[in-house]
Amino acid sequence: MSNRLKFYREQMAAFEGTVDPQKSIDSGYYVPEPRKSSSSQIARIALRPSAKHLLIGGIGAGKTTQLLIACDQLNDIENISAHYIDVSLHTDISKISINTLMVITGLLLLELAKEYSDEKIKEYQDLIQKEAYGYSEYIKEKSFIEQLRDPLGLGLPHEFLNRPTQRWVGHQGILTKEKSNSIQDELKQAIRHLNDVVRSSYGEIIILFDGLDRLDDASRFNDLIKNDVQNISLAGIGVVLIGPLLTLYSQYRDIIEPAVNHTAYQSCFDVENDPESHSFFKNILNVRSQKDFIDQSALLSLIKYSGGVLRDLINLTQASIEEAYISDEENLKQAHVESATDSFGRAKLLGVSDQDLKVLKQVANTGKFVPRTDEEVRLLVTGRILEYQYPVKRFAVHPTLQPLL
Amino acid sequence: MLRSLSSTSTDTLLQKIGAQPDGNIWTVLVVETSDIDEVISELSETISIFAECKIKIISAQSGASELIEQIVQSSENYLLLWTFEAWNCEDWHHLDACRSSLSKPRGGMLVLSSTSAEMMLNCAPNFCSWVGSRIYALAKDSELLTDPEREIRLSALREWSGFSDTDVIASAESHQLPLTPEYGEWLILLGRGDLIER
Repeated sequence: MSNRLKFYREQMAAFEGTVDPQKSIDSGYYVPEPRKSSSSQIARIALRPSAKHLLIGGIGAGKTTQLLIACDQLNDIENISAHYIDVSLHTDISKISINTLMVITGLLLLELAKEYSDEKIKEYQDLIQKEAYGYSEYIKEKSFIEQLRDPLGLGLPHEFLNRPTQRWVGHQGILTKEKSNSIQDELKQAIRHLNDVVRSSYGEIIILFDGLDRLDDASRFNDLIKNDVQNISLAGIGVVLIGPLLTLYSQYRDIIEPAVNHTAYQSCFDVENDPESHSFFKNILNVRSQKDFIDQSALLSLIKYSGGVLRDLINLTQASIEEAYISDEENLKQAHVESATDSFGRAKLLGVSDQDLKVLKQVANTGKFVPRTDEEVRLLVTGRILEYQYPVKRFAVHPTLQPLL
Repeated sequence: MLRSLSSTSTDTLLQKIGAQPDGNIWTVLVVETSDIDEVISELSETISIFAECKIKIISAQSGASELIEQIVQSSENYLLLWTFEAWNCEDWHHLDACRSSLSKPRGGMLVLSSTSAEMMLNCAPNFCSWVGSRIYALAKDSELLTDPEREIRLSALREWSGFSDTDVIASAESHQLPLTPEYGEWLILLGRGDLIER
């Protein structure tokens, strides 16, 4: 492999938008957010460990990173044991049903309670594992013929009629199949008991659930908040969870927000109007790239065209470096960024309806946007329209899309 | 709709894949429906050379659950996914919700019709956030590099290796050419992709 290719691959590897955020933190790429970060707001849960916190934000806004940082901060506090769980690695989120978070909590508590073994724990272990993964059982039942009571009057022998049939019956687990008829009271008791057991060794348990922002159904999310989050909290366990952006614009917002103790919103960073956000994005580029590899004009373009979306900054930078390699250049120039941003904007334009286009133009011209219909909310969810909270609340069309309208 | 996307030739696409580091990088290639089979056949022969790893081609014909299961079970580092034409928005939502399952050491590529690509962009926003700008329309049978651009790239490869075009072809014919992306790219630029060792 040529030294040039090796160098470029190293530069690109530092800007991988799909990497596990924990790896980025471990690689020293974490740059603290300006002002009051979501992680510091989440860490407030330490004051009241059994509270319920909700973090909502757009895709690629850095929610998982904030959750991981908050988890580390909580674990630095004496008598608190915080646990990060990506729910999507345990079950199919698109089919998630109530009690799923309770079962996952039960599995975590069982893991923590490994060193304890009494009959009650064994009983709850059996209950939770069956509920999680399903089970099969061998059922003896009366023969089908006997159930019919020999309706044809064939005079079948007595012993034949009374011989039980045997069959295996399979029961699906909640983590492997959509299911809603779970044994909730037993689960509640199990979680409460297991939490009481492990608390003496681990302190206050706090669970940070990630991945639920990919749930495309505000009603299901509402069910999880009302049932699972409520019950886990009642058992004395703190809950922090990431929620889908669409809940903010759904009829369930007025139910969900009062059902939790605190809601944090991770919005895009207004790199156009907030100097601190601009510096934050600049620091991210500087921390990850080799000195002087990115031209100043290219660096400013990357920040501008990211729209203040962290993953877009990372992805655009990697794609721009790829363009620079293909162009046989030795460093990253503005032309490479322009090529990558053009691709990015064109991809965002695909699938936009005439009505969407009308809304996008209106937002581009006036900055006014009141998302009411599903289609308008979708423009936010797909990152075609971005929402900023600071220094002023405003909406804007994604800067890569704007020149193409 | 294809015209609204950035277009790329197969050569440039392969060059880009060859430049990428190890990492979960996903690309979407949008092609005319009638060309999908041919494109898959062509990519299946060349992509492993540029990705420098084993690839697996997986059809999405049996729906999202089956596709996700196959992705999770696959041991290959790079995946080439196709046959999404029967998918509806719900299938894409399903794949989107299971985005974490798509983590592969070298990533992969989806080959889609423009209709499927539009649906993906509206129904799988989390996955699309991974893809970012890497959604290209395939400019079939077109050579995106002009003759001068091709010559510049060839000169760079000659300077880097110290070999001539004739040396490279001779080495390839005698199966002595190193299996690195630069040499694969070189042969393609010379119009001798047939000499790339499969």
